[in-house]
Amino acid sequence: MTFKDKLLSGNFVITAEVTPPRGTNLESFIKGSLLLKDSLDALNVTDFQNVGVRITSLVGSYLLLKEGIEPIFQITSRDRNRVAIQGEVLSAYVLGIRNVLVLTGDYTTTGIMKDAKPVFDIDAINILQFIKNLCEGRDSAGKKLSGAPEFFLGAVFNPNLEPLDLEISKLERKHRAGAEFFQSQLFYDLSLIERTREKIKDWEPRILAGVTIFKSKEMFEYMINKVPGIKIPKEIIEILEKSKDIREKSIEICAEFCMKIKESKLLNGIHFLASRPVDILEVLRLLKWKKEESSNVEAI
Amino acid sequence: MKLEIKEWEEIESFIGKEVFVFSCNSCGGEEIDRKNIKIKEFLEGHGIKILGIINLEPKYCNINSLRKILEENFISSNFVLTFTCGGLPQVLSSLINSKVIPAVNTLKIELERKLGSFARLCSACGECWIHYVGNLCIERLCPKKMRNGPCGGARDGYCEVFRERICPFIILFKNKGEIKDIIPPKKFSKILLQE
Repeated sequence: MTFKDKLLSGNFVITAEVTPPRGTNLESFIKGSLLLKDSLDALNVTDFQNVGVRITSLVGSYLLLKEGIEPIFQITSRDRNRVAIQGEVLSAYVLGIRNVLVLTGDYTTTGIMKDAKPVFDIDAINILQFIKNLCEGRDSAGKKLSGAPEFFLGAVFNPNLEPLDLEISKLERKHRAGAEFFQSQLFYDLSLIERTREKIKDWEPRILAGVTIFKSKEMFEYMINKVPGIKIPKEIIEILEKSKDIREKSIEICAEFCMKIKESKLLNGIHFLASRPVDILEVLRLLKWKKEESSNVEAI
Repeated sequence: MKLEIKEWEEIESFIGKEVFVFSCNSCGGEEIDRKNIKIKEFLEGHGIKILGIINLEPKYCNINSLRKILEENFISSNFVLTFTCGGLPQVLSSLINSKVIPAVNTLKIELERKLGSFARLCSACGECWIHYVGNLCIERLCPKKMRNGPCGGARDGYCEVFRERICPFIILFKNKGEIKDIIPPKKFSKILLQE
């Protein structure tokens, strides 16, 4: 079963994001991804995460596919205009990539390569519309395609945004534009999802809950201060700040929250953000979760 | 300043059968009488009754003069169409209760001419879309120029880029409620083809 089949048939799925290497040495990227292969349903490949130069998400996704891992190819509009985005997703399809996660992208000045010119030709909703059009056989200039792709399209959802109703209205429009699944930003308050579910009556969004494991104090502080759209409750900050081993405590908190998420039945899965593979495995070991069925993606 | 009247289809759904009009000499770029004849032909051609026209000369294009002009010459109307740059409809919507719709696209603002002060508020982006978003100029207020709501990077309502600035979509949501339509991407050819 593919990631799409599992999610659409109601399975509780687990995904994580992996970051392509900065440089040409693929070893740690492949090794880390392979560690997760048997425990997770798909891996998101980030698109120039934190505005840093890396192997592209397209190539990263392809490398995963070669290892028999199902990728979720992330694409943003910060570094590419509508021509490049449409060309890139067509290329992804011919390489065998079937899942695409669409994001607008963080602003250039919030990341590493601050001097780069930001593109932002189109926003996430418009990207979704364009990819949906490609799937229907036309590009955004109306040119007919010789062979149309078929994608399982996803988008992001940030339950931390206030007012939440504004984010929910965006979720609905993303769905209308073509998104069939959602991966959320890091959050700790399940009542936000409850409110989201109550508000959306006529369809059931498939949402994976964004969780993370703070591997160090530096990463924890970085996430709090620098990463846009993240809000960590005071209680969690206090517990982590007081703990002797932030990684160990963070694994414990993450596992507890994952358990709550699954029991709540409010979400359709877990999505590990910015976490090391060994730490993800540690959380899954604590949870004693087994993948419901092994993925049948063949190594190519 | 170079302006072009919008396609009728774009304005049509926003207005009723009677409108009040604001015009100007495009900061010296156009002869006002000639411009107003075009405006009348455009609106009357589509069966719209003009309740009145205010011509805002550049020297009166500032907040104090505008307040005075509104008191003396404005006839209350449900719909106001502006045939000026995008600065005036942003300001007007906070001064009057009418629905204010820009009827033109600002294609270019030339800096060598003497500009009215509201021209500074116009991004001259070639495709004015403030009427879709509560008369806020997202082109000017949003670093990512999002068309369909906030990017998700805001923290406690503040922009991820300019951390002391409230996200314009949050202001819009608080003032006007939900945005339901999906706004298509910008057509950049409009400004790219300007000399």
